[in-house]
Amino acid sequence: MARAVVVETETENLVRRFLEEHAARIAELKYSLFLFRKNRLAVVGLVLLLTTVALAFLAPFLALQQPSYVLINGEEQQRWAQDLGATFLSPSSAHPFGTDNLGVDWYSKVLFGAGTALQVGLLVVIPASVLGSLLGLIAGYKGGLVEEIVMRITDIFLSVPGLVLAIAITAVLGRSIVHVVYALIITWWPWYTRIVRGQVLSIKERQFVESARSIGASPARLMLRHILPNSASPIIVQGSMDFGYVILTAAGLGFLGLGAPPGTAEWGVMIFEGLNYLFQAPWMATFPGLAIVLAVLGFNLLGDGLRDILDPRLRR
Amino acid sequence: MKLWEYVVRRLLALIPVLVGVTLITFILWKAIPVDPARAFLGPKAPQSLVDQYHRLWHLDDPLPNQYLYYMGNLLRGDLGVSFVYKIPVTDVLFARIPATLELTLYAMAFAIPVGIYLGIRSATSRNRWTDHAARFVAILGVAIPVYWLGIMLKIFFHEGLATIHLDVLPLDGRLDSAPTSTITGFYTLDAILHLDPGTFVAALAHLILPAFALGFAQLAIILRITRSGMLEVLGQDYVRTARAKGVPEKDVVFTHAFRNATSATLTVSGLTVGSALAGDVYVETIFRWNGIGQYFFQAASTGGFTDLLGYVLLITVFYVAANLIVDVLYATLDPQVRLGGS
Repeated sequence: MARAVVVETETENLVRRFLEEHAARIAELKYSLFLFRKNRLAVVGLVLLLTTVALAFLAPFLALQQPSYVLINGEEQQRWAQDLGATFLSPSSAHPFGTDNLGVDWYSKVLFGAGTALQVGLLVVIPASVLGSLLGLIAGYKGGLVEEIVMRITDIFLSVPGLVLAIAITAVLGRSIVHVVYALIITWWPWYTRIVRGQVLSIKERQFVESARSIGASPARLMLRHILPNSASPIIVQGSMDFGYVILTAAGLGFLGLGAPPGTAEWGVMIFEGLNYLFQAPWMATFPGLAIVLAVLGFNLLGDGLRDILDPRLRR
Repeated sequence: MKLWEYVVRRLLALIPVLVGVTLITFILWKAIPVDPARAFLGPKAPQSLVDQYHRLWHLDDPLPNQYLYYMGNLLRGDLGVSFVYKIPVTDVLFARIPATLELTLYAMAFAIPVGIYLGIRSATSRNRWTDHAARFVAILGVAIPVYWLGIMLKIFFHEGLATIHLDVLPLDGRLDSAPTSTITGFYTLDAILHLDPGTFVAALAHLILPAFALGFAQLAIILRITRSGMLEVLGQDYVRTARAKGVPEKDVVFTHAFRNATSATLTVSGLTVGSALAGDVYVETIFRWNGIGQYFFQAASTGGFTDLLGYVLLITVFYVAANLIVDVLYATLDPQVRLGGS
């Protein structure tokens, strides 16, 4: 009994010490959460986003029909069982989003499309933001010739409309969802370089960086431990917004026939297939497009909300 | 710095950009194991013809030489032969530019004024229902893909309105039958020059849906920027002073406030030209519009390198030109802005 009391006080002690040590951060976090909850649109965004993620993971359980996978030229491709007796069925309780020209249940394909969209988003936004941020960090920190070269290359990439460059790259490389990912990384990193460089220029002259340098911190430590964390908020905001735009653009490339192969559960490809039967089966183009709008809306609203919370000028 | 000096400088700065773009695309093109001669001539072409093609375009030379040959041709205004149409790429582009420019200009002529107007209304009636409605449009505009919007418009105007016998708007092409003679290639302008009101109305009717689809996203962006610019300016002291000394509210909003909120709107309008040019690819494909966007789509599906690169270079020039015009306008409107920095 007495022993238990001691243990309890010890844990309590630990908790209390932890709370005291991190009091400032916890207060900050609480305040951020409070601001987030007050921002109704951001909450709507988060709900939309979580729904998309949940649907992507639960697709195999919720779908009425499952795809099979075959290997073609080393790339895994989706196959959906056809039912030629059930083509062009309009939406009903048996097929909530109707069926296509081959009798495939459209609701199941839209569900599986969520996973494809989120994967592409992750595979583009993370490498692009890491690569772009690192280049921006180095350019801003080093200055001089390095900065000049990096920023001129960035300018070249930014002076072509991103979508046009992405289309050209995928078209040259050939139809594949992997090439779409490459093309979007190539078109997306320069934005991060520009943002981070601007941040670094303003942060590197601050006193806390100066004092870290004076006690002998290495350039790598200065950049990664002191400067980068302090320029994180614009990267996070941009990343959240970009996630939506990447989904939209990747689907656009799929629509042009540059991404996933025909018949795949990818929203852009599905809209294109719907374009062929526009007036015969309008639901084919409608539902995958609606899915894109909701997913993109989720990321945009969340990004907007995060900016309001993370930008100290907008906090009050 | 004088205006012409600034313009010349900006145009010179375009050169490394264009070189960079050609280099990126060229490297990618060479990175893939596809023989361009086979892609151009087709799989059934005899070997002798393929060899001849290789000699003609120096395809067996070292890569840097190939690139220099390519650039040399480019400097003479030769973009190569189209993989899609087997005629010079420049001919294809020139024949199709007016269609795209006409569509894009109409889209921007709709998006910029409406976006600015809604942005101002939204800011001046903050948190009332007009503001909420405008912000809803702004949010939707950037989330709705242009290809989906175009398709939805077509379905709506076909299905929805045909049932009540109201198929008012044409859904495809620039005119039901191609005009016998063209002067500028802009069908609405040609109709005016030919004093042909019937054709003018028909061409305009064909423009409405594609221009709306193309302009909607740009409208949303312009609305958003105008709104935030106006909100910032409206809270400033000189606006309060103007109101206090009895300036009519209309003049406060449009003369005092808006002139000072234009800078961001202008910059963004230049940027939206870029996204409109990219959106053209989709809109022209969906509405069967014979412009360069549709050509780019055809090139993308055949993988024609000369076509793709020709299009990308042209769009880059348009895009840079649009932003240059914006910067010049910017300096004309705002005396505090000096061209080319301090």
